[in-house]
Amino acid sequence: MWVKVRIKLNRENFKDYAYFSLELNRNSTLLDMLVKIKEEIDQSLAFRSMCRAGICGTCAVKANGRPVLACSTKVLVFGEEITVEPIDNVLVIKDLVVDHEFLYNKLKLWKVWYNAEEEDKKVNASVLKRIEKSHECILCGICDSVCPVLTASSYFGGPTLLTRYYKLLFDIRNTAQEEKVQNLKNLNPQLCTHCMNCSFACPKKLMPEALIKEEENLLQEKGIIKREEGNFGFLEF
Amino acid sequence: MRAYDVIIVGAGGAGLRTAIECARDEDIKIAVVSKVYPTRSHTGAAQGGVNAALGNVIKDDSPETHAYDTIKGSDFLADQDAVFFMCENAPEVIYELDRWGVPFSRLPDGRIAQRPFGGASFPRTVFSADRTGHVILHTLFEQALSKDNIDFYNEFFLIDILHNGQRVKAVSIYDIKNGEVITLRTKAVVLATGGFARIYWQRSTNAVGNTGDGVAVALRNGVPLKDIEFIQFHPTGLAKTGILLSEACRGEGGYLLNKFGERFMSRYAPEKMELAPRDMVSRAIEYEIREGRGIGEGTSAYVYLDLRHLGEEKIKERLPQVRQLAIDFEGVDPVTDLVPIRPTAHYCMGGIHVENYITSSTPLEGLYAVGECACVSVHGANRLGGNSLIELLVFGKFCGIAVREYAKYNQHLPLTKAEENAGREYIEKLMKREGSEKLAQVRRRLGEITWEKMGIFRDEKSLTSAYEELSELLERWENIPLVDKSKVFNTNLIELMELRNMIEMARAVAFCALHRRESRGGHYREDYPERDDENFLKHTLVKQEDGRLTIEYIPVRITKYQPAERKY
Repeated sequence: MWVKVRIKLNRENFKDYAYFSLELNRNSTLLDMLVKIKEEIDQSLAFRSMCRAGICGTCAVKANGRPVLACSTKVLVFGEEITVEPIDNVLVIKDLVVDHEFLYNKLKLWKVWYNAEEEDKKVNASVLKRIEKSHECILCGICDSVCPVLTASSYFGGPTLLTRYYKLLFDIRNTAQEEKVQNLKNLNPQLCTHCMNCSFACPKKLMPEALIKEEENLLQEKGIIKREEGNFGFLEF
Repeated sequence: MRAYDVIIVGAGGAGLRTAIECARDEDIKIAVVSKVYPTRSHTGAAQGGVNAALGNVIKDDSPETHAYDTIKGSDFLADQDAVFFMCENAPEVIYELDRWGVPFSRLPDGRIAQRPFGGASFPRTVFSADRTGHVILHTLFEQALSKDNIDFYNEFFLIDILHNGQRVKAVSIYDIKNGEVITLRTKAVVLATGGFARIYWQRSTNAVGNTGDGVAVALRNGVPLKDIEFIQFHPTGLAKTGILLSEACRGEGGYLLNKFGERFMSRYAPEKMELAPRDMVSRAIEYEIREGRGIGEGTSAYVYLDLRHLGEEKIKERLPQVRQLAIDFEGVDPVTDLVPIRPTAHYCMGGIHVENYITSSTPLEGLYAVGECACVSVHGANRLGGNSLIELLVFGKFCGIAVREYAKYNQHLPLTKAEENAGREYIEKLMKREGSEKLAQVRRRLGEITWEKMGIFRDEKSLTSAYEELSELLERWENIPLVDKSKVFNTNLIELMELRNMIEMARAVAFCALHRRESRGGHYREDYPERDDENFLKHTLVKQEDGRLTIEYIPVRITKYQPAERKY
């Protein structure tokens, strides 16, 4: 099939859409398409790719407005006219390549790792089930790129961080569990408006919004934040 | 100029595990350099699991049995002392990961579960559903991030290691984000840059970045490579794309069927059937296709993987990623459909010659190698599934200890201005490169030569022709123009440098394969179909001097098990 592709280029001396027209087979992924353009038409096109199998999280782009992993998305679903752009709300380095440093900086800043003791603790299957999604995050940055709260407020931790933080709160193998619960309040999960953008966009279907809701509940149960502060003031006499 | 005690190149499982161990001494300053962000590394693609004789499912399992299985699987080419070292240390590194938070799948009593895997006598493979590599990589990354004495150089490409012929003294690296070349002084360098199975460009399970950069740099610097003729072809690559479906498919009980619906493995490995080692299963599939029992013909032929009898629940619980990959990339759902598969290039048993398995040191002082880019050798002529992750965990840990101690008692060597500038000059030369060849065409030709002439089946004629044509290809590489002249995120330049590394590696593989006139493990010569212990029970060492390759052989260390016929 023939497709018409519009790619947003971002270079020092050129910031505009470039137009390509090429033939693809029906099984082609967005990544196949970008590779073909790079190999046959414009060798200077910049995008990232690595595993080609949806696990390394490096190739997120926006296609017809939807943020997706280029390697795991068929061109066919977009029809014959496709616009490819970098994902939103992050610094663009070149063309479709965006800054990933911010993802890693957040993990370092908020110490998103287990503090371990030298003794083994048995963790049961139900806990593992619970933290599974937190461990499955591939750091593609898509959820943060669609979060309206994160765009508006620097107080909000954002879905990537809160998804990965979740495991530290509920796994007994993390010896700093209590400290993480205390620090969670600084990430302000209660600022989430539950718009579900992140859950709809996550390519691994990790439902970050649901995890954020649980984190908010945890803070309330522990009495660290108050339930729905002020929101329902009109009900009070 | 910046200086570190230790520089680790590569931030996959091997590099990160080494870094964590190094960093236990807070006075040691470490740089971890990687051309991709650490969590993009190919360790994350490992699906099925990691071997350690915990004996959780069947008590009788032991490190000794693990060692025997590994040695037999290697077609007796592995160094047995190194294998025992790995297997004995395997359980402890698994428990470490458990403490750091890796969500290993569990038995009902809370102990770590284990599944059967190819070539293993007991269910020994520890796993986290079918995304074991992903959770291990991310956990190791988080632990490395917790160390304040590690600096990450993300998206820096390795140009060269600098040394004085005896000892390393610096690395020269290219900053992909801004086009600058920087030199970092160091007392020791650990190469952990992964394999080069991407030389089979059109049909490989490997990530596009697995271009053997570290191995090629070692080769160019006169460091010997060991046993690189042994390439593993994974039996169950998706037919259309070569994307990996985990060995866990067979471990959990999947069948392989030809076009008549026969479980054809009964002809090749009547006892182990689908759970025979990878080299045997891959050849069996190719024989079936050759004899007309596959589906389709030529390069698009395949056989079937049948998981349907496992049931929806088990497939969803144990093989969720496999199911998703089959749906996304082949358009079939393993719950209800047969999955078309065919062997695909997967792993490099050989690599940089490690002389001392306890420290992972190489013949060049101060240079170490761990993970797939190294050859210890624990995999010999064929690696067992689940042994690559355990290799990088065990040898990464002990390399980390060794290199940390080495750095404590050694000083930086002086560096001349000329050495410091060499990397920048190389890049400037490439930036000016004009010519009439096309990068993509040369790369595609590389993939055709490797697959057709040095693939699963090889002989004198095909290998000679591969070697000659790859030598020509290397000349053609000199004539590929650099189209993109920009400094910011110039992937055209990166691909050009990667292509050189791949062609040089492919040529060296062909050279070594040509000289090994026997069949063993992953190396199958149709003109010498038998294993020849009298002449070839030895490791190949290949060196490059002034562009010329030379070969010598060193003995295999056989400490316990005498070579025997390999039956499954």
